[in-house]
Amino acid sequence: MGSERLEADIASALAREVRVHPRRDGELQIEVPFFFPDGDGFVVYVRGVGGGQFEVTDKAHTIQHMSYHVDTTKLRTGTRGGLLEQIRQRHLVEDRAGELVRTAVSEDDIAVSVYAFVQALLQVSDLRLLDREIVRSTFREDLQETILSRFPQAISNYFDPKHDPEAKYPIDFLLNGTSRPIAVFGIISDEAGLAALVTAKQYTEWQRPLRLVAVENDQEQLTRRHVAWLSDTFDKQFSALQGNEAAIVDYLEDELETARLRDSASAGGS
Amino acid sequence: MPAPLSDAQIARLIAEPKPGIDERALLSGMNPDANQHKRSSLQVRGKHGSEFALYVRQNALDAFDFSVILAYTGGGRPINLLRYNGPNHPHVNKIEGTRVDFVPHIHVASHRYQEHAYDPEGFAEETDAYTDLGGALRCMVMDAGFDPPDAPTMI
Repeated sequence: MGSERLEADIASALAREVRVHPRRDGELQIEVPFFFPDGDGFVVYVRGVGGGQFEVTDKAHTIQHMSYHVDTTKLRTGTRGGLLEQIRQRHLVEDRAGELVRTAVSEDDIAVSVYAFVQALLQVSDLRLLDREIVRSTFREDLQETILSRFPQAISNYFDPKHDPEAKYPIDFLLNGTSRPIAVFGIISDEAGLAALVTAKQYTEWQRPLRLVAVENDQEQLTRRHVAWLSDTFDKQFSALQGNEAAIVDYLEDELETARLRDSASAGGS
Repeated sequence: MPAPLSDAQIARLIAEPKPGIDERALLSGMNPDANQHKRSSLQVRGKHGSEFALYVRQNALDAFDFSVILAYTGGGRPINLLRYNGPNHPHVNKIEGTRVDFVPHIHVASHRYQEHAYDPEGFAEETDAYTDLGGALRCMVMDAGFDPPDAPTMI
């Protein structure tokens, strides 16, 4: 096949997939052959803003669609936030409170801008993959946000200054203030599970009672033996962080309240 | 990754009897978030003990951009079993090669879409059973085993 024919065929195939639908208020909805992983098409509109200028917008659909599968409140912080910012800058896209907009283009530039905008939408949509494939890099920051947003008094990377001045047995998050503080460990692997078990055993030897909570990144990724060991030693396990954030916070609040009441009763009875 | 749900498991979870909900309260309780989306949700325990969440979303910039979702949350990572969408976008069933134009459509989870690494609810069919968000919620309640509105409600 000659290159000219191939070029014509590809151009024709792409052109067949693009449609323009007039909508209310003079807006035009551009149907493009690009889709979310569930098969839904991207939403792209072009609207005039006066002075012969136009902008391309998703009318806040992309992030809403992402919210069907991931927690979009995390989109603007940490790893995701940095990536979103890079995508915006590369493609000259504004984030107007969730509405993604490529601004101020002339009529001659609309077509090129639509394609650049769709490329930006594809990349924003791919931030979802952080929740599936690169979770290891975000698990720690997600757990930290879950814990510290509700319990700012929690101590990150706690170690016992008396018994462990070299911090060889760190606890990811410690909720102190009761006779049996709550220790929360993030478990991303079998190795992390073993480290948590060793630390828990060490605190028992030091006669420092703790309420032990394990939050696993994905229990399916741990071997059955490690899950069983954690189950034998820990007071509570959460099999995944994603989707359990509210349950984890509720559990910790309940446990803290119960411990305070128990301590008050003991003090009153003594 | 959790093991894919079979079609039979999906059908059982959808059909599992669930307590009635107060649709009006769910809709009137929709709060706008930082992304111009109104949203509301409810945790639901089925009468066989399975755990679900019901999510309602609507775009403040486009009333026809809405979604009512029934997710199964009892298996670790939530899986959307049913999603009732508005007509603001087209949909393509990637495996079958069929398409749904700009009309309301219902996504249903299936084993085959999980096996091909698409979102579980990657298959959708158009519907004329509803035209707006309230209608979509009504249909979800009728289709997904929720007790009818005259039964005792959760909220």
